[in-house]
Amino acid sequence: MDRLEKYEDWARACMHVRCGFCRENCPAYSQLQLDSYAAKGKMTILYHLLKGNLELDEAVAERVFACTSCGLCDVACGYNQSEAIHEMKTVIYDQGIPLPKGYQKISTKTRESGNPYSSDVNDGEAFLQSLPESKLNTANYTLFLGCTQIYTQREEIDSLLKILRVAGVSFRIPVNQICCGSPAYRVGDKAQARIQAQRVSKLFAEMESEEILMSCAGCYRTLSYDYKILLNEVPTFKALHTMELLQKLIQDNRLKIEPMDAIITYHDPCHLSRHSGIYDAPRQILSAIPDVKLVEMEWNQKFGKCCGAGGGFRAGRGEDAIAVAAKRVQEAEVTGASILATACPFCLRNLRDGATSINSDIKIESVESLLAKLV
Amino acid sequence: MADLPKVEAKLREIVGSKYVSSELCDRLVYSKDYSIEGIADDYTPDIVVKPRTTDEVVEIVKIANEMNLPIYTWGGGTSMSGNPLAVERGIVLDMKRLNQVLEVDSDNLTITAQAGTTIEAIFNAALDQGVFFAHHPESSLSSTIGGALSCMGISIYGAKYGYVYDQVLALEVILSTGQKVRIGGKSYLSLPTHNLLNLFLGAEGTLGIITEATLKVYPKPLTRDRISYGFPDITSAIEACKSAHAAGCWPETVFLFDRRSLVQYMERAKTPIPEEVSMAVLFGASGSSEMVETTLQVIGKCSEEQGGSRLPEDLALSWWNSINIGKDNFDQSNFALSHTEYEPDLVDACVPLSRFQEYSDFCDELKKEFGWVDIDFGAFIVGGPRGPIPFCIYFSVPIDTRIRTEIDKWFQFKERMYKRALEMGGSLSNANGLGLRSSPWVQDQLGSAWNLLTDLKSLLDPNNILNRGNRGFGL
Repeated sequence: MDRLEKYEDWARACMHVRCGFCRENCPAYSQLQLDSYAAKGKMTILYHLLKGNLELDEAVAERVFACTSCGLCDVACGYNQSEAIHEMKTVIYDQGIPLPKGYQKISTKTRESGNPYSSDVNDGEAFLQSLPESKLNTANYTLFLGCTQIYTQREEIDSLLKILRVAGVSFRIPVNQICCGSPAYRVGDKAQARIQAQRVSKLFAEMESEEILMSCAGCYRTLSYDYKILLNEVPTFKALHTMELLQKLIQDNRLKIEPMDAIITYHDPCHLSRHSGIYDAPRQILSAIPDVKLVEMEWNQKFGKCCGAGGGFRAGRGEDAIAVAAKRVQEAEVTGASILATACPFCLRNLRDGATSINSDIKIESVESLLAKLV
Repeated sequence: MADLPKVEAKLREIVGSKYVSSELCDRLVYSKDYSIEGIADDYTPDIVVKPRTTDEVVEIVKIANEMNLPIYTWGGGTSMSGNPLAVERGIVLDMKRLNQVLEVDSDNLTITAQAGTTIEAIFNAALDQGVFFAHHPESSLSSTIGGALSCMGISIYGAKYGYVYDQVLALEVILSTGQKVRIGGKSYLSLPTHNLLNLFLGAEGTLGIITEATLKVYPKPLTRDRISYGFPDITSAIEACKSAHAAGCWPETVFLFDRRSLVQYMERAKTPIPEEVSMAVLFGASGSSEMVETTLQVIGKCSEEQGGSRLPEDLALSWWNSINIGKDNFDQSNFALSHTEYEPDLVDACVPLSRFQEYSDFCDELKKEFGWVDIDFGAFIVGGPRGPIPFCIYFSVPIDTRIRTEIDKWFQFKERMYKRALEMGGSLSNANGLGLRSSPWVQDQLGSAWNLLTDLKSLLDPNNILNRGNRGFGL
């Protein structure tokens, strides 16, 4: 509980003001409906935990873990409530309070297999070794492929590789498949996340890699911001998201893009947008496609609503996560767009499932897969 | 003593298990509103229930009545006077799933919505149909129309359009027996007899539970603009407002903040405030560009004649932005800010217009007596519903609620303030409802009318289940 003391001020401020601005746009609250599921509720729980009026138990854990870590509450509040909520998760985890089942699985699987899917690492590494760039000893960039893409979305990797190769980007790929630790961290397993961070950092050190390129928004946020917490030091490498690189490649005229007659709207992945400040690059990439008309959803950029997949919510509350995604898809449909683009493998999967659940005709694509077809 | 497990089981049958909870972590969230009263004592309800339909509300109320269990109706929980707190535990009825805008009738200038609909949703639904809903408090994004109709609150457009009460054409209300009553209609003259709407407006759920409202909307103003003026004191600012009224000006926004309040509201934008400003007024006007321009020009003239000086445009804009909070700028709200060391509660008593300055001076002296000088929010005055002439004054008083003696002092302070207001011919409440904060003195104010009110309460709520123990009932 000592780790939560530093958030006592924020919890008390919330108890004072009770504005509830965090509630109406909270993806967890939109599904679960009691005020305790919104950030306001979780800060109230925190306040009473610190006051000794409430014990950490399974009911509290169930409320606290029902958070996608999207951070829209932080925008509304001014205090980083999502940070306090995440720390509550780590404390609950460390105190051995039983986690809701789906969340626990992420931790257990990462501990047992090295990735949150319990996929065979040998299979992942065989795939990586099949890529010619894994044979290179030096390159400008090291492309760190996340386990979500390696084990569930290899076609997305194909798209990315095609673009990088066409543009003549100098990159190499590690042959070792190591999860960045983000999924474990989001469900409170800080110890395992730290182990993953140490493994990844060691890998980069051994490869003498300084510029790390990645396409997964979760990996990007974790390597950019969470590693300095997990490792207690600022990493020696620099993280770069593919959206930033692709935007630069287009700016430098290194990609010739065929036209596409389509109306596209863009969903900001929370990890990339609110957490990392990358709003413009993906929009500039999509706008650079000749004949594309880029339109915005009602809730966009810093106010962008969550797809529902983050913070272990998809694993812990699959149906609720898909229902949240379906609402986001409906917001995209209102724009008249035929394509909903995004830049995160978790958003991609969840939005697709959301679209399927409501029989939506809108196509859900990654920015990279759209671009790859046109270069 | 009610059989709570039995009540809970019945509630689950009505609304489904997902929407009922007796878990402490859920109940605690409904134990505190935006008032120090809520932190000074334990108002944790026994059960929280969140219905979807009016019929479900009816069934819940019937059960509460049968089991003699108090029922506390909640909207957004943004009330500032301890209005919905579960004084005698019982059931919190969370209305936020009754959140549908049922109709926007732009031909007849009405909008009909369920009570749990957020004010921002109503505001935007009206705009989508090209009409304007005029109740827009800073809490619009999360506060509900049912809460506003029950507890009041101010609107940034109140000077032109009036209170939220003034927007009401019809209500659907559930009485304590579960009987569903509709009062009024879409016509502006739907009340052929006594105005029964007023039994329930501002009653904080003590006489019935509002489940639906038909409200006025207006043609959307073509443009709006604003100016702000600084004055040496409250009296000269009010004289300027009266002068503007005499000149025929009908602005939509008239907010008067003293320097301390303005500092608080400029905290996020960090807009500098000229040294000489003691009392500042924000005047906003809407309509055609000619009308807006003329209105603001005349208001400017009236203000200068009373010793006012025009404040910089960036200050007027920052001020407007800080009170005009909606779905596109809620990150600019002043609500959160840095209220970590103190809770800003309100003294919401009203006094006659000519004595605003005197009451404000009394408040300042009393704050000094209580030792509250280092951190100090100030006075707020709001115009409407009679045009530019202010109707209410209230004072924000920051209390360090971590210190029990400071909380105790708050109770002593507010007693002195409310008693003084009554001595001055004033009232216990103006803009933010009565709630627990002001209710200890309600009998003093009502005098012979108190018996009439308690008779009405007994008639409409014989078992006293609605908001039991609040608003002075049962004291």
